Amino acid sequence: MKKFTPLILLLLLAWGPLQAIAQTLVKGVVTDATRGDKLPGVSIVVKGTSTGTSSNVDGSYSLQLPTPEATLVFSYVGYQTTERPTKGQTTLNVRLEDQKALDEVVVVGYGSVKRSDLTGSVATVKTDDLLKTIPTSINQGLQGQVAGVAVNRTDGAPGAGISLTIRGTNSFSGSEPLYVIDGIPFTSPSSTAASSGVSNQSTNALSYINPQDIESLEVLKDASATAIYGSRGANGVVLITTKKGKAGQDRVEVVANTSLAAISKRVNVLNAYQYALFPNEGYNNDISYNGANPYRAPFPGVTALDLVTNKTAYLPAPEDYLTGLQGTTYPDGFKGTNWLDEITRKGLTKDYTLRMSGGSDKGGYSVSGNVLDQQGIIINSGFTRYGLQANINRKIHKWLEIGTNNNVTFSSYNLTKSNSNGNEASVISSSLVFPPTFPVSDPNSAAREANISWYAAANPYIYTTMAKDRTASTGIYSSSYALLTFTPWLNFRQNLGVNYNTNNREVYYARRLQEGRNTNGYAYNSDDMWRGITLESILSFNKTFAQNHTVNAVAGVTRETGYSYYRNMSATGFPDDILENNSIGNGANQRQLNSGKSDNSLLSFLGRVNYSYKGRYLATVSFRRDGSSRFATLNKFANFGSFALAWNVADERFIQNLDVFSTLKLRAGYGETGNQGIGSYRTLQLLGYSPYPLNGGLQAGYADSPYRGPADPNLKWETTGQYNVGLDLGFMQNRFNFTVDVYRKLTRDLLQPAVIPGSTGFNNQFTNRGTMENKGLELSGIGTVLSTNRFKWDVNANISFNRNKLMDLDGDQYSQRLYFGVDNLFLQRNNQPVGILYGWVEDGYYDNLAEVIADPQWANKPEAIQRQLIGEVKYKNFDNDPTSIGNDDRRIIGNTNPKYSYGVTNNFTYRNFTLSVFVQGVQGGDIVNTNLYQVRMGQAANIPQFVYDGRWTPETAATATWPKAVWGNSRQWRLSDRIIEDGSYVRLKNINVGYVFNKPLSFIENINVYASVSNLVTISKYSWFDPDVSAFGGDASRRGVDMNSYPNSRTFTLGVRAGF
Amino acid sequence: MKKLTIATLLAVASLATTSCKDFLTEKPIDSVSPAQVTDANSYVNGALNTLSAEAMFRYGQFPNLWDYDSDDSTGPSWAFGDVGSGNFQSYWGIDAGWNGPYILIHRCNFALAQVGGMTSMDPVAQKNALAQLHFLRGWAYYLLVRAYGPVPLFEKSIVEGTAPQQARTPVKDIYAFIINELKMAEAGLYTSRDANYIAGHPSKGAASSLLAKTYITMASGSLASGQVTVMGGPALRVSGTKRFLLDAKPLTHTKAVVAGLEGLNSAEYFKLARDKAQEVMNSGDYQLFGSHAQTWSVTNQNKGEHIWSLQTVSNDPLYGNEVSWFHVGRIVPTTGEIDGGAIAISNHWYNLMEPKDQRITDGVVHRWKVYGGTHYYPTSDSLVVRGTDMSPEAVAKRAKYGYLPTDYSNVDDTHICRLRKFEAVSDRGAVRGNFNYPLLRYPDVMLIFAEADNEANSGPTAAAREAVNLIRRRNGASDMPATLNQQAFRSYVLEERRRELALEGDRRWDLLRWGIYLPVMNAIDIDENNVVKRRSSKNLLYPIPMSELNSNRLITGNNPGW
Repeated sequence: MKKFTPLILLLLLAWGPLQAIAQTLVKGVVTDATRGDKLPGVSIVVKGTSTGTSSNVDGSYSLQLPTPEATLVFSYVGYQTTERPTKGQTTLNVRLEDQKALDEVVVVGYGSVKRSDLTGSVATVKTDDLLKTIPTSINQGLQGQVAGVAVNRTDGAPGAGISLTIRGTNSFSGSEPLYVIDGIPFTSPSSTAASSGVSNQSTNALSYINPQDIESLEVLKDASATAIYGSRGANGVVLITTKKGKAGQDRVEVVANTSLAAISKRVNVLNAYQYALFPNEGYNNDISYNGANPYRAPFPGVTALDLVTNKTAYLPAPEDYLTGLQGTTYPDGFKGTNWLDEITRKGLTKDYTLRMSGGSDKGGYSVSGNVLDQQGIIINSGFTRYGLQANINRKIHKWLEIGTNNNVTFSSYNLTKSNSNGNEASVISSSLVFPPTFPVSDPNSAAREANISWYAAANPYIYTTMAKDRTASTGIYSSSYALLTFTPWLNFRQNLGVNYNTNNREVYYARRLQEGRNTNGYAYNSDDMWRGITLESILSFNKTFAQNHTVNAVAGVTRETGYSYYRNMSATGFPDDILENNSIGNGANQRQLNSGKSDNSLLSFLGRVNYSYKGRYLATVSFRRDGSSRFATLNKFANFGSFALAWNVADERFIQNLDVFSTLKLRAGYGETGNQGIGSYRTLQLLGYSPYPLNGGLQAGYADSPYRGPADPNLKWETTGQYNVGLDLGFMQNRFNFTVDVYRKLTRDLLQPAVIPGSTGFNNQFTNRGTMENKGLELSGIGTVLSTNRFKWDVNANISFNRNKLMDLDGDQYSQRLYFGVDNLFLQRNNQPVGILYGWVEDGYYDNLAEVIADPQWANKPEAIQRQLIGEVKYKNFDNDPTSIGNDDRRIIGNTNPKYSYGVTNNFTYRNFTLSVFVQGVQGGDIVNTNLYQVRMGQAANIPQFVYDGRWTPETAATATWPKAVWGNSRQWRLSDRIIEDGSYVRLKNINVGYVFNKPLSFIENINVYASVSNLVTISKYSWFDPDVSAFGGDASRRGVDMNSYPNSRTFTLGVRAGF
Repeated sequence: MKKLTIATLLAVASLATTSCKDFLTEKPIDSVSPAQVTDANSYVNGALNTLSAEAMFRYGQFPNLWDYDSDDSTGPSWAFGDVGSGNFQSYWGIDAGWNGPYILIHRCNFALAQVGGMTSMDPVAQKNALAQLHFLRGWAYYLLVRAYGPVPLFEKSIVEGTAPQQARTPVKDIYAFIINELKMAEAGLYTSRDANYIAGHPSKGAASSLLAKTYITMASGSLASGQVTVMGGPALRVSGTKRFLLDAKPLTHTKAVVAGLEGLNSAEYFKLARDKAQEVMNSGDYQLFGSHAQTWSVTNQNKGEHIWSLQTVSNDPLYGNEVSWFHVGRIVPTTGEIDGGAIAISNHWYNLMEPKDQRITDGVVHRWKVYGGTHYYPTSDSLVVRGTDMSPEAVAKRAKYGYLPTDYSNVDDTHICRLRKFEAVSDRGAVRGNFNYPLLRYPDVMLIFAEADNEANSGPTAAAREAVNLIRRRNGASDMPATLNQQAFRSYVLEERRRELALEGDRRWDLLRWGIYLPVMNAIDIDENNVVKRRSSKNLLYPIPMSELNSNRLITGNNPGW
């Protein structure tokens, strides 16, 4: 009810405008200011009301005014919106100025330029579009909005990690772009490290910025734009500017969103009856094919000793679950449990922002507070955020301006154990595999569950109530400056940026859970901190010589330091589960204490010159020299530069004469950028503490860590050279705008942990090896399809294609394993993209003994071995040895790179109604569904319905898609094409319907009421929860992996935005 | 205004130049560089740490990789479904068989260079430290060569410039290297009675024992012909819904020659093995304990007959191990019930013993609580348990084991023969206990002596018989038969090894080195707990990890069949 009260109030307020009484007629003609053409279809609205009309074919209009004194707003696509007070006149002729659509000012690194003066590829995201989908974080909102920007989510958990890739993967050592917030490079702290045996779920480093606080967001894509960020520009740069106070009246804005989320797609597993049939079939197959000795079927339907209770009782048969169990050790009438139902819920999200802003010509202020409380669709998961943003700027003197932008955010993640490795229990895997024949809770539950404790699953309901994994984060971000203006053409700016982040993680697994069962509880507490300090001194010069020559230049020095630490502890052996991890000293075994520290520094010199001749011929040259502490002495410094040209062809007489283009601009550039995305101390050989026990204690020892690898003292920068050619087109006074960009990026000296033979005593060595190429095409268009004074239809669409290729590797190599046992899957091979998958190819099943004997692999084996293979997967033999299936029989079985991705937003406005429909999709791009690899088809584990339906039986041999049921762990799965699935999807990502009340009351400027549905429809062939999944987040070498992913949700939101 | 401009420019310039070099110099703060480690023992401990680390014993790949795959070990099929059933590649820990020893080798290589370069050290202590590293390096190659055949040989670490890719070195050359390493170790190591000897570290006796073991591995492996009689064959018969355990039958198998050892003068190596074992026995460094129970008590760790064992810390997540929990289970403190204990030994093994042999009377779990009830092993004790057998032996058994008529048993994989030697931990409630897994134990050396002496003399001598009987008497068993020919004595010693060294990581390797692994395993086919014992020639060697094959182009293919 709470959320409806303001709605009713708003409806009442909507009557306000209808109370107008007096009527005056005003008429006139609207013309083009430069050419004098009469303009038809111009929208004319009385300011602050919904009263309006549009001009006729001859440009004339007439309009009844509610009051004699009013202000008319004239707007027309391609022209500047113009306001005119009537001042009692009855005739008002208006000349509309051409809108220089491209003349908006665009923020670029260390400065800003007019869009028409841009030489590089820079995309601006409109905050309106961003906010339509009601994102809880900015990077989440970017999905499908910008050509060339791929947004990958870890999974559907609230606050889950999100990675952004601009123009394809060009590094193994992190391909996240550099975020620059209010001018200060933001080094995102790594998400808090998981302890072993705990969820891999990562958190979103940018989640602490409230999207409502964003004024503008620019994506710098090509090297001429990013080279000014030198060593960190290689993955692209995202510039975020927060809202500042504007000159004018003080203003208060309130945004309130309330959402309800529900699971959008389920994975159906067997009910208790079907599940009981399955092991019985497996038991019989063990006898028929594996030579097992008959004893008693798992669900025998006889009265015998029940091992769990040590009592003689009726042991149910499958059919008993149809009617309800009677006389067993289970509750009478029990028919089975649907575990997914037990752990999911409707998640409620409340998201409120309150902002005060204002200012004068001396400066402004903007202060906002944000509360977000997001419930996950799995019980006991969620995300909360309390944020404060305070921006103040002030002109102290004519020559001195100071300003400060600050953000303090407290957030808290309640993580459920999802996205964890396949060998381990998790709430997600448990909800799918935990036997449906077990009740949620009965007196024998604990004993029964302990009896299958060897299996990586635990009672899912108990998980949601007894597993605790909370991370509380504090983020402080501050960017301050002093601007000294010496002359109108020369100023000096000193920036000071502070970035501070702490995470405090608390984990407890109670003794009923797999993780805590054998150890009497498991507790883990950790703290980590990241602090970055940036000092920047920038000198800017901007002058026009001899009218036509404009030079805009910056030069500067920046100095950054980073420092981080972590501390964690764990304990087991708790007397009970009452205090959980809160008093970790209660654990009898508390030996694991860890801590570590590291620091790094970066020193840079930078410069850039923009030259413009009449705004028609443009050139940009930039240079940066970076020195990083992370490299060895000889390789600490590197130089990065760029050069770009642009030509505003539309300004040329011969194009103007065509009268077709309102914008026609050609851009071309080349630049080099770097990547230093490695940890500190990678060039030094360091020994880890490796003691050995002596008389029950420990004696000090030091040794190399096999995981760290041998140090490479010659480690150097990874460098990306990028060519970009772009074309900006505008038609019909820029009513339609198109941008086309073509690029080729070549990244050399790839920094990567190269796999080296285990016989060296190491797994890998961090080194420079290989080259990566990305080629791509980006198209985006924005236009107004229809426009009348009442109805307007805008379309904003983009599509991007990227092709990746690896080169100059010594030979084939593999990305790191996904988890223990899922190894050597992501292949890195010359002339193939990063993200191809390598494995065995299945070739149906051995349907009978003759088929087994016919295979040279098994021909000479004893019949007992041959019989075992009936109903098992047959793998294709590719090499010259038909007698075995080995490594050489693997082939490329998939590619996780999409062919293209796209997004289309349609915005409709009718009077005060708005409707926005956003469709987004990815075509191509496989997913490694490791969940299928974990399907056991044997043991106490449930299976998906489609596995059961497709299992091999002698009768269904011809159509089988899964091997036969067995009741033992004897099957050797191979990493085959079975687990590779097509991840293409088209998603109706968002529909947003809104209504705007203008001046409903004198003190209310406007109220926007809206309803939104997210993830309404997803069309995909993917068998698991959702194709937008990438378990390893920002790890470019292992994209598109589904590993116990958190289900996706469909969200319904009601929201209000009001300005006072 | 101009002054201000200049001042600012100067400020910028000074910011740029101040201590730019210092600013970018890295000073690691939470790890050490080799130059900071000046204690030789720190390097030795760093190498020994590999044993406790995740690559070897921490998560159970060791010793399970040694023990899962033999005619004696058994347990529930979920535990024995991979290595235990011959599906080596399905086992999550299979690669540890390769990577574990190689991590140890790298650490030894690097430490040898560092310790060797220390100039201000006591020469004896330095020699001892170097000798410990040679011992560990020799042991690591011993583990590798018997499991994988030819393997890459690193005599220097890649940190010192050795190329990371190395081809496989022939089996005989690896053995020659091991022998050389162990001789260097022998020369430099303290004896276990030396005042400077550190408990749990390699001693001179350990080096000699491992050398004897290396010799006999080479000798038996290269022996061109011969036969061994092994108690084995099918374990279970099913009649209707009833399951009957079958007795083991004596089956005689003809040995094969171990690949890579062809043509070696095996008689020569049997002599070397005998002499080396004799040397250990004569040294007086080691004594048999008086009983089975004494051998496996926590207080006797690192003493008496424990030549070299894994060092542990009770209840420690990093330095405790799950060996006890895996093999005999822990006692859940709140319920007194057993939890774990999945790696057990077969009914055939149990029946290899005389009824009075302490290795089954004291050495096997006869009665335990689980699922709210009490269970017993073996099922053949049913009349004793029920009290219908009133013979003095039965009465004594009932008293000793505390059998009650309500105790329950069955022929299934929860009623298996668990060995109480694994109870030698301080805290029976712990998952990660302080079980000092025996890596070299004196009876092993004595039985190597007996075996080698029998082969060297083409028949048993009194000394050889005495070595076996000392072990038997200690366990309360009768002396071995006095009149055995060479083949029968050989078989008897191997059976005695089976009895004495059960689940101590030897049985699989004894079968392999004698070339009878395949016939012995296949004679069982599938055991009483449905563990598949069928094997083919590919099971003679472990599969080389795929990561090695992928990154080492000098190894062109995996071992046969993998």
